[in-house]
Amino acid sequence: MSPLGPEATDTEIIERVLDGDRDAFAQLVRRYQRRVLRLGYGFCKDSDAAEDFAQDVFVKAYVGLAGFKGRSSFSTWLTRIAYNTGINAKRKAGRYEPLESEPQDVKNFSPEEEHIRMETVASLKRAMAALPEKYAVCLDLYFREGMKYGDISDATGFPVNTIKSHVFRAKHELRLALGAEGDGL
Amino acid sequence: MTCTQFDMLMDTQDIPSLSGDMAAHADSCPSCAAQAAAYFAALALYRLPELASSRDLTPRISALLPFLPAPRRLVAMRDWLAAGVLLLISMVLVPLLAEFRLLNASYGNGYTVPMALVLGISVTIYAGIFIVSHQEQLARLLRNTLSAR
Ligand SMILES: [Zn+2]
Repeated sequence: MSPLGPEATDTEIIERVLDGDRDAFAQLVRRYQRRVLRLGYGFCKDSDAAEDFAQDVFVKAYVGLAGFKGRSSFSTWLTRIAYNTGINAKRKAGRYEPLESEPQDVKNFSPEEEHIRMETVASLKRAMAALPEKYAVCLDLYFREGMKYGDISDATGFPVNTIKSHVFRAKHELRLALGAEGDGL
Repeated sequence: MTCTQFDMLMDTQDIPSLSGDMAAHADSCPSCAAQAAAYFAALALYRLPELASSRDLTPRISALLPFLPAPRRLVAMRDWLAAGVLLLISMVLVPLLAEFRLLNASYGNGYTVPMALVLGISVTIYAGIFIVSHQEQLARLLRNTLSAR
């Protein structure tokens, strides 16, 4: 089999894996490990545990790949596996929370940027704390992963309108917090 | 648009950019423009962080794959096509067989009708199962062909 280029679509890669090309799966891992790791970090709050989480998610995706029917995008399908893995896992870390402090060597923020970022994290944290954990994750899928309502609904199984109303409230709270900051300056 | 309307619309805003009426209002209202800019900047900063310190998981996961059951379609598209070609070839070749000619000689042409029926039915069953079991793949193929035009 000829090697797949870096511009190969997810579908092309999946076809390849299903045709028996195990190595092609690495390309999917490379493409989506950041998102899965970030979700893992939200669930576990620990880099090592987040890596174990991500490994678990990719193993499930690989073994169940024939079950991917292409009704949603692969990234949404993978997010669903990550979501279910996170929600169902017995965790010591407690409930899902937005990433507060990054593990080392992350991009260096200016003091103002860091301040805005912490403000955002704090208000999303408040919004998430007010929700059952299964919905709290939806806020991060929206605000951090930039997923569309329909895709979040596909990944979590909640109705679009439920997700919309939680996001709406969180967004309102975030904007209030940012507005209050702006007024104080 | 009033500032209150702008404020309400900001809560329902989905994309990190202003469109149409909202952009027009922001152009003429520095306070709303600043508010929107602060919100978009906050989201951008929140989205930016990568777990940069975390290692690349690809080698770790690739090393595991050989120990896992390989995901396979029930029957690969290639195998189906190969089976179809084989079926077709055998249909063409059957009349050339010595046995066929022998049967034909003893039973006459009436024998070929049930023979054709049996072959026809097997081709139909083959094609039916093929289409049903490869629906998604065929649909994707069709979509790709259409979008390539
Ligand atoms: Zn205004």
